[in-house]
Amino acid sequence: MPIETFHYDNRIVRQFAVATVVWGIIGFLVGLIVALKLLYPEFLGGIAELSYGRMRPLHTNAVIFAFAGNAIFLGIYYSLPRLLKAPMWSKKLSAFNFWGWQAIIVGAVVTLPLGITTSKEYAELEWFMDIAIAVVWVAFGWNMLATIFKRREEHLYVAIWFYIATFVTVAVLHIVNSLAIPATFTTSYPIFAGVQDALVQWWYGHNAVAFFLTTPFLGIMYYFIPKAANRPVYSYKLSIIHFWSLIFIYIWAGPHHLLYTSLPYWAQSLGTVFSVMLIAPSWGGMINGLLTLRGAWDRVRESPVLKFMVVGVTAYGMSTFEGPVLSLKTVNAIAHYTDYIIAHVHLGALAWNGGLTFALLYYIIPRLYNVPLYSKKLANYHFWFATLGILFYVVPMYIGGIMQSLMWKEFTPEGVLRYPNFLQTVTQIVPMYALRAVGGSLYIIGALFAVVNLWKTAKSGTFQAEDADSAPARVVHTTEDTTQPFHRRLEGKPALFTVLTVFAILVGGIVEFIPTAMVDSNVPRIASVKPYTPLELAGRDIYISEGCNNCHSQMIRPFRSETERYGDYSKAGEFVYDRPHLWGSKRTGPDLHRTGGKYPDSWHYLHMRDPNSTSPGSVMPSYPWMYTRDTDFASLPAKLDALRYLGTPYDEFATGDEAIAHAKAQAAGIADALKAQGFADADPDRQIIAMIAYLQRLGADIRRASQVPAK
Amino acid sequence: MSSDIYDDEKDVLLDHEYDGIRELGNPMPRWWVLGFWFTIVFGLAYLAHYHVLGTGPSDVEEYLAEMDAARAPTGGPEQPGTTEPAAPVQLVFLTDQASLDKGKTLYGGICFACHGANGEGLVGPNLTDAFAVAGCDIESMVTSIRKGFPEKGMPAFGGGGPMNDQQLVELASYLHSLQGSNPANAKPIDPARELPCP
Ligand code: HEC
Ligand code: HEC
Repeated sequence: MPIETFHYDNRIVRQFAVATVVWGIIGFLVGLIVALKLLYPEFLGGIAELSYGRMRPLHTNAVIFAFAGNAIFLGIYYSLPRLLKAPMWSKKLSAFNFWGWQAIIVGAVVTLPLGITTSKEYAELEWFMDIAIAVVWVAFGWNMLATIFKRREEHLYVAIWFYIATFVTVAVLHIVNSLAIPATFTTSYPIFAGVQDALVQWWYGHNAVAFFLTTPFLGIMYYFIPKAANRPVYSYKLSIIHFWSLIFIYIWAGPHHLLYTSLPYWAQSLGTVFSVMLIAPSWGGMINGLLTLRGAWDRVRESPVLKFMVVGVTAYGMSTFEGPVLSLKTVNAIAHYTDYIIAHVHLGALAWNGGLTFALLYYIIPRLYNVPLYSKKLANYHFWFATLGILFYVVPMYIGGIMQSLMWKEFTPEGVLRYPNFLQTVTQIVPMYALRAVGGSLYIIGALFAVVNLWKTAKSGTFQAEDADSAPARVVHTTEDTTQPFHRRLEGKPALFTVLTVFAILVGGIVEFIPTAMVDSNVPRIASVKPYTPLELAGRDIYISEGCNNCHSQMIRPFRSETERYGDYSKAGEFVYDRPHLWGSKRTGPDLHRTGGKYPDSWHYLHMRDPNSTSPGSVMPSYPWMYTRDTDFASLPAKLDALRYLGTPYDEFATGDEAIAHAKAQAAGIADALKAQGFADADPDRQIIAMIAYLQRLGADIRRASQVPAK
Repeated sequence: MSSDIYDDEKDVLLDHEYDGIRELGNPMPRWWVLGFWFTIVFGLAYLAHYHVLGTGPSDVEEYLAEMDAARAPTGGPEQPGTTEPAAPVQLVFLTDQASLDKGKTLYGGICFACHGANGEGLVGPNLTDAFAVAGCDIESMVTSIRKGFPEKGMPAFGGGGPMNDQQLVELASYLHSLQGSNPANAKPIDPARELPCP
């Protein structure tokens, strides 16, 4: 058999490495800004583009899609060709993948602060960005699959199974969750409403964690741990079982984000049980990673790469145990909406994704420059700063989260809430926010050590633009070797492998979604629930733009402590016109689902301009620009058309002009009443008026209902 | 590659090799396999308990039970927390420190939002000056708080709302104790509507 010689492209690897580091630092810094804003609400205040509700999604998107995203490409573009003994199929597609992805990130950095957002967590980018993401992602997958098809290695290694699962699942999740009708260039309405929208969103949101932050990193682990430790993988059999069970089970677990909400109860229970069943498949990965290091622990002490790997994999094991525990409804009742969840995700993000990414960089960069790492000592400092930073981040947030929950639920012996003023529960945990900011800062300092170290390493060597390798061409068998076990044969059939993967990841979503969408009893209608008026709709879109949902939920759970504080628990039928749903996932501020009528318009008028005036010590940002910026009345006809197309009954307004006139009349009513109460500057055209109209509508429909069917 | 750890009987090195990475033929750890089965059985039992056998309560049933339990000790008909005291409440301004403190806590939890932290007035009127829209005696004040002024933006707090009569009196007493305290940023009197207290 003739031996063929070929070259791996290191340029694309270096490009992704640089992008990973640059976006990582930016993403961390934005996170620190957001953390500081909860300590000093005035910090960078008064600038709409930099307000909390707009910056927080920028932080999450930057660390997930820019930092971890580039790290995934970095790991794949390095390991995939080497595992297949074939260079990437197309350098052009590689370049398109790289520049396309960076362009999307830059687009996010521009659009999110501008308030161009869908509000759906980790899917905030608007429709035109979603299309770009789909195109670039498919280009990546195409390049990867084409490389697989022209491989020289007969079988696909376990890392590649995880890469394939990543590609197909993220494509499916992204496309389905982004299905929306654009109304204007900057607004779109999802094709699903209320409960269905929430289910699709968390099917996506949970599996973004699974297939963006887990499976590609498991693939990376399976390549870099054995390479760095020079040890064989512990158990091939475990690889097979944990791979298939992981991807099959993960997809079902989304509803654990919606326990005790208006999601049908059976779907919630599926979320719980599949989450519990996820422990073993997740731990299978951890075990295989850690046991691969048996007998190599001396090397772990020596090597920064392995140190970061070990901490990362261990944290992965901890998070994937904690996650299922949080999915038990009794535990979830305590932890949901609190900062406990923020600690949970940061354990995963900082230790598992961050740890593996830095391990990856410390492994690859010296090899690209053909020199040893500039300073092992500095890398060790990085390691300790990162570890301490993680502890200082998560421990206070765990404590703060539990404190929050206990305060929300505490009753006095007389049977009234101990902390009826929500703000009291916020100010008590502000010291924890301060410690969290310290932890984050330590982590960033550590990351800056890495930047220096990697930079110096690069300076001290010469860049190897290509690595040469050689291997015999792959023999294409015409008959199957049936003596081989089934899975071994499957590893030689990438097309079949991909099809089976798609099948495995589709089942759970279909079983949960179809009945929720099709069976009426899952979302009982409530006659008094009517569509938003045009002005309220405009206000709702402002709420979305400003990202109020980053601090406020709109979902009252059926607990005494919540119905006492907020009013009757939320019913599925109340959300049928909510596109998108705005249930939220964290309560830094109180729930707003029944805030309508709780305060007079004048209160909101004072509060939104300066929350401290009505709520001394509030951490809610002030929104002075709502008092100078105009409501976008002109786009209302287009918005109503889009919603009408999706089935919202807006028959009342025969023409667009009628809708605008209706909105203006409602705004004038609110502004006139405010003027009469002494707010001389109340102007019907300003955003604040639309905002107030929306806030006063929240929960109002059900109060009109004489009889509310139980859920 | 050293062979020391692989010659253990379990550690069979497979003939797989990818870019130098080898794989061992170790079985899956037993405790792991058992753990996996355990979670599967747990899952089936959980679904059976809540959805097939109907032995587990639904989320709404849990809620109703929680509300019943909260109501049980006082045996009252209303929402928990709003049960009226057994004996009718005397309508007099209380002056003992304990009652005033209770009133202050209630005020700080809810009323501050519209009347200011020290009663100085915000979207609601100043409650510390000697002027009132709806009277300054105990009956009028309790009525004001009990029924609220829904058309002006103050919800009703008594009569099935979040507070019982005892609490209304504590609140009114606390407000009465604030009379003449002259807080900072006091809201000016609206002479057209507010009348001097006798
Ligand atoms: C940084 C988190 C944060 C953001 C972002 C935020 N809020 Fe708040 N919000 C709070 C906190 C904390 C409170 C409680 C203290 C207070 O009244 O200010 C609150 C209170 C409120 C209340 C009063 C609720 C009640 O029942 O007392 C309303 C209404 C409200 N916010 C609306 C909004 C709107 C509208 C937006 C977006 C334009 C928004 N908030 C953005 C944190 C936030
Ligand atoms: C949502 C805003 C709001 C809240 C909360 C609120 N109030 Fe009021 N309150 C008002 C307004 C507005 C008025 C004035 C009604 C009028 O002008 O006729 C008022 C009037 C009153 C009055 C009558 C004052 C007078 O001049 O006669 C009393 C007493 C009072 N409030 C007590 C309370 C107490 C006690 C609480 C807490 C349990 C409370 N309020 C909570 C808005 C509020």
